[in-house]
Amino acid sequence: MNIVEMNNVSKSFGRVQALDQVTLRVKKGEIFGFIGPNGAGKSTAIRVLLGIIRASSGTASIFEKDVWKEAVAVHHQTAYVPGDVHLWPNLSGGEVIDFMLRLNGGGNKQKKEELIERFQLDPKKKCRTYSKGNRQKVALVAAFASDASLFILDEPTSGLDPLMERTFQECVFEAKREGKTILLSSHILSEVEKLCDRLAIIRNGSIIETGSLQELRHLTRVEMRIGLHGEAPDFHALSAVAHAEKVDDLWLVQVEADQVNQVVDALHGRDVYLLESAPPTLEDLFMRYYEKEEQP
Amino acid sequence: MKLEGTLVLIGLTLKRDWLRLTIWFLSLVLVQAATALSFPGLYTNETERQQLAETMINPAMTALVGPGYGLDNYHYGAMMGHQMLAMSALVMAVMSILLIIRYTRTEEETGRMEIVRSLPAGALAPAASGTVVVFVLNLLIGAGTAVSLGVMGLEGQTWTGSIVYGGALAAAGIFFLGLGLLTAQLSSSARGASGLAMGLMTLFYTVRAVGDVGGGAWSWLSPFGWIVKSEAYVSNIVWPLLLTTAASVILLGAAGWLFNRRDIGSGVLPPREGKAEAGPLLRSPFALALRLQRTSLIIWALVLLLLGAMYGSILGDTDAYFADIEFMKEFMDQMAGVSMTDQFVSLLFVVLSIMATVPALLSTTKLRAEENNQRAEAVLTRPVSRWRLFGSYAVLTVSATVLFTAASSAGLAGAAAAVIEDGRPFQDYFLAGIAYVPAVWVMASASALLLAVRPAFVSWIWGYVTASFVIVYMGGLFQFPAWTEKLTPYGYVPRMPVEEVELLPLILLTAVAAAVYAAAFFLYRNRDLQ
Repeated sequence: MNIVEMNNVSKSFGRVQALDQVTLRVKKGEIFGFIGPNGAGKSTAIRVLLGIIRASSGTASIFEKDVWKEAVAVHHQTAYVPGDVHLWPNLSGGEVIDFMLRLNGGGNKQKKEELIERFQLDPKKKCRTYSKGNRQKVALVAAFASDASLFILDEPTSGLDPLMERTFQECVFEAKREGKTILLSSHILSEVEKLCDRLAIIRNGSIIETGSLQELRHLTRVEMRIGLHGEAPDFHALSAVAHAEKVDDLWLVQVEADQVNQVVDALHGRDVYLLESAPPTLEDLFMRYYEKEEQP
Repeated sequence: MKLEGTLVLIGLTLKRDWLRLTIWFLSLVLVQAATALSFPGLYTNETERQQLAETMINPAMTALVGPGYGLDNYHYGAMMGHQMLAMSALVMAVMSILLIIRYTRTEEETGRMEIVRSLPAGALAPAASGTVVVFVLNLLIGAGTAVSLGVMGLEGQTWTGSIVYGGALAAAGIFFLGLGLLTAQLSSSARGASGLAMGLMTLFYTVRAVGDVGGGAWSWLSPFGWIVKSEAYVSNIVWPLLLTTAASVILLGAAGWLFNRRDIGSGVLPPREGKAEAGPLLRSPFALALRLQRTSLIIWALVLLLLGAMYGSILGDTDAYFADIEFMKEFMDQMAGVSMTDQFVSLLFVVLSIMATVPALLSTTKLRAEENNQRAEAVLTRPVSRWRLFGSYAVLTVSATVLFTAASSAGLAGAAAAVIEDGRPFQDYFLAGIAYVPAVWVMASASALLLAVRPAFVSWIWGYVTASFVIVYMGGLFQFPAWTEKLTPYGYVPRMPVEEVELLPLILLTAVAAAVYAAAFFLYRNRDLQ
């Protein structure tokens, strides 16, 4: 079952086309990553989903309800954390959390206190005095203490330190274990790689790739490090090899991910003493798409 | 050396803030000069001046500007010292507090002072440079005022008096420079420091008001009391100013001592903690809007009440007063069979209702600020509809309008009923004021409509408010044609107590406000948030 559905959603601000025919599906119970650099359209897509701005064309629904017309019904089950959290300067963090939870219909007091503890937030300080990371913690506590079944998180960790980032990741996994759905927009690729079941890459307002990380890895290259005695095979002659060079005593070979067997075959019968292969990282994948853009 | 680098920092401050400092200097000096210049035109001869002096002797004026000296020979100098000195000293105080906190605690809060301190600058240099800049600005304003008033040389405006007057302004400014610098050491935030200093300033002004009205010793507890006791242009007593200066030295010394002893970024007083949990009422967008505006609602209501009472308190002698002043006659079209007092009261009610419009509109523009700062988004991404959020602010504005208009009307009506001989009962006047509520609603609905179309348009409403003010207040003076009054909602309200009570225009104004609000609701529902 799809919790979030966007079908051919476009959005333009005057002459600027912020979203171009975006189609996206988030299934129930999965963690869905939404990646792209700043300005690619991640936040615009999320703002459409939240009913803050209206799509110029196309349809978007959450829980099979229209995100614009039935925004209130959708928000009853949705929790949202923006990347840049703005709070009321003269309220304390604790007051804001309670206020937000009450709007959402109560939330869980015990869970709230536990989360405040885990995120090491001082709820008595006025929001005026909070750093960016602390404001984000306020929004995260309010989100994870609510009874929402969908979490929309827009670069929620940009101000957190590594320890708090880990706490955040635990919270996401716990939510997933409870059968909740998470849409996580990020440009921290290691985070997406660690958390997400499936992901979509957005560039210039268009989705350029969607799938599980496993599926997407097939689209990229594996880097192999090979050490051998005696003569090396002619790696350059292999169609799967994109690049090969000898650094010191080792060969560094970049191979299309789904054709590694070509290299293995070529090494057959030779005196290999080292064979390492690093799986392609999301970063490699990402860079590859963006390199494509630069080479039209 | 602890002061090393002070000169460089003074240069930096002047470079980034020369315009701000120049504006303070010019506006303060020019207002003094312009006021003095306007006196001979307003009060042409001694008889008029003595009449003015008579109307000035009442508790409200004494509370506002001080007891006044030389009222038996009310020359232009005595007028200046009476009507302008205390209020100008208050403005000097505000200026000094804002500037010194800007140059010290704000710099510290934003972390810029840390950068300076990491360079080879003395530990006291950041505080010293700010102090010097504000100190010199105060001296310059005092000197500029003294020279411009002295050169003008109106009747009674002696050079000695002008120098005492200018010196009194500078002394007041420097006292509050010291106070501001001290509170900047006490509180760890710029906001806290200016709140504390402004609070103390208000307290000092109130203490002086209480002392002056009661004729007691209270005035001696306030620097504003000392300043007024210099009796500029009348007796020119210098020692109260020396007392003020001595107090300033103590304040500056204490502030410097604290600054030197404490860690950067910290304050002597612990920061005030907020509540760990929200109170039981904070559970709806309306409750939040009310909570955010609570303090300003109360303060505005009180200010309007006082303003109304102040205007009202001078009504007692209006008929005698106006009869002799040409200028005032032009101000209002004389109507047959109506007392000047009643006519003046009805004009005051329009003016007060426009003043009450200002805070009523502030609570609409608050929603724009919420949207621009992405806090409206924080509410709307919860299960809260646009209608509910917009409606919360609309209900608050509509009720605040009633509160503000009632406050100013009650003040004016109460004072009018008390001081006007053979006047009308309180409710007649009160009704005249409260009748403006629908007109203010129309203005509020217009601002809501602008917000609903595009947030950036909201500020246009101030242009409409200003235009309305000019039309209704000065239309008579400039002889605007009668139809111009109908360009503003205030022009449709029957001018009681001069005119008869009429319900129809009030109902129509309310209907217009409701219709405009309805359109605003629809547009707000259907537009993108910023």
